[in-house]
Amino acid sequence: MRVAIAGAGKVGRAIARELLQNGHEILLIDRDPALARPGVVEGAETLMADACEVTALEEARLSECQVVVAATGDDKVNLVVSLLAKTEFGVPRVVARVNHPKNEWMFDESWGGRRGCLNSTHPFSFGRRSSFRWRLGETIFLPPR
Amino acid sequence: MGCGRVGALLATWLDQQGHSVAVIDQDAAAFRKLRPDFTGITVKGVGFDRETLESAGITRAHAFAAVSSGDNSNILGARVARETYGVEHVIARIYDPKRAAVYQRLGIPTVATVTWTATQIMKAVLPTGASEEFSDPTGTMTLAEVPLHEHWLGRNAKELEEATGARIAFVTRYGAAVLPTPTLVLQQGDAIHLLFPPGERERIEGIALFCEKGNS
Repeated sequence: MRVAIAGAGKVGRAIARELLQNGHEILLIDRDPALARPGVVEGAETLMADACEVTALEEARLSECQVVVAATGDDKVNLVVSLLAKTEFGVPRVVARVNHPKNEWMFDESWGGRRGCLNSTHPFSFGRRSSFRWRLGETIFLPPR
Repeated sequence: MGCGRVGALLATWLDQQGHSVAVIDQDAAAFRKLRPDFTGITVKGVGFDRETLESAGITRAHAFAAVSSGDNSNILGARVARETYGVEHVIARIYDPKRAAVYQRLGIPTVATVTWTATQIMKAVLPTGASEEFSDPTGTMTLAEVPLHEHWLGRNAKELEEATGARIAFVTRYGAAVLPTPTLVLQQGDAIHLLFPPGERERIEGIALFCEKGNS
């Protein structure tokens, strides 16, 4: 499965490693050249770009992704990336991270998703064993811990 | 939302016209751009934050303009103003041309600054292409002044219409606009104003200006 992750910070890299272990194809997108360098996560593809720009997402071949994860430290970016992934590129499953509790109220159905949690033991396994029911076309907003 | 050059100018104009204005900016120093006689209110804060918006009187607002320097902030502000507070007239200034088009499609009116500015400059530096003078409200018909290649001089209006498939709306000759008859002979100095669907623009320019083969 092809997964694009916006934001190659701690959270993005951790998700990338876990998905790579499960045999998925990973693209990490970050506008910081230090984080978007090849090899930042062994086995992951990288793209140095602003994930809010439609041209960057086209270059990332977002329409071929089964999952897009918006995991940057900026809530504005995460909302915009999740919206673009869903509306412009028809990505079936989108996850966006909420960083700041103060912004949590904004992450709602007006951005095409709902707040929820992923399977805590295998959050990104997407396998048959996953007990979490995640409907296609639905964006999941992960609240801050 | 945003008290930069655009925001400050908008606030000044609206204030001078007697409207009640609130300006939001994260940086209180930005309010120095407002004139000393500005009678509206200034609110320091993030433009998509509920408390900030409410202290700016968003619940009573007739319109909301998001003109900060950040595309993402502008789109968040515009959406919150409309979805959460039901503000009737909302507009967002968006630099990124493609994102501006996306939001426009999603129902947020946008001003695509970069596209607009680049278009104006292109017209100034390359005064050869067709320059649009009117577009009908559905955007499916354009009136534009189309420059002609000299090989059209001496030929008549009907030939040009047949070759391009466009309609000549009028011709400006010796400083006055005239309605063309089919036999009007095109001459040097004429400005030809054509009506055509915008998608046909390049093809028509090619025929009029570069004498590419047309319908005739």
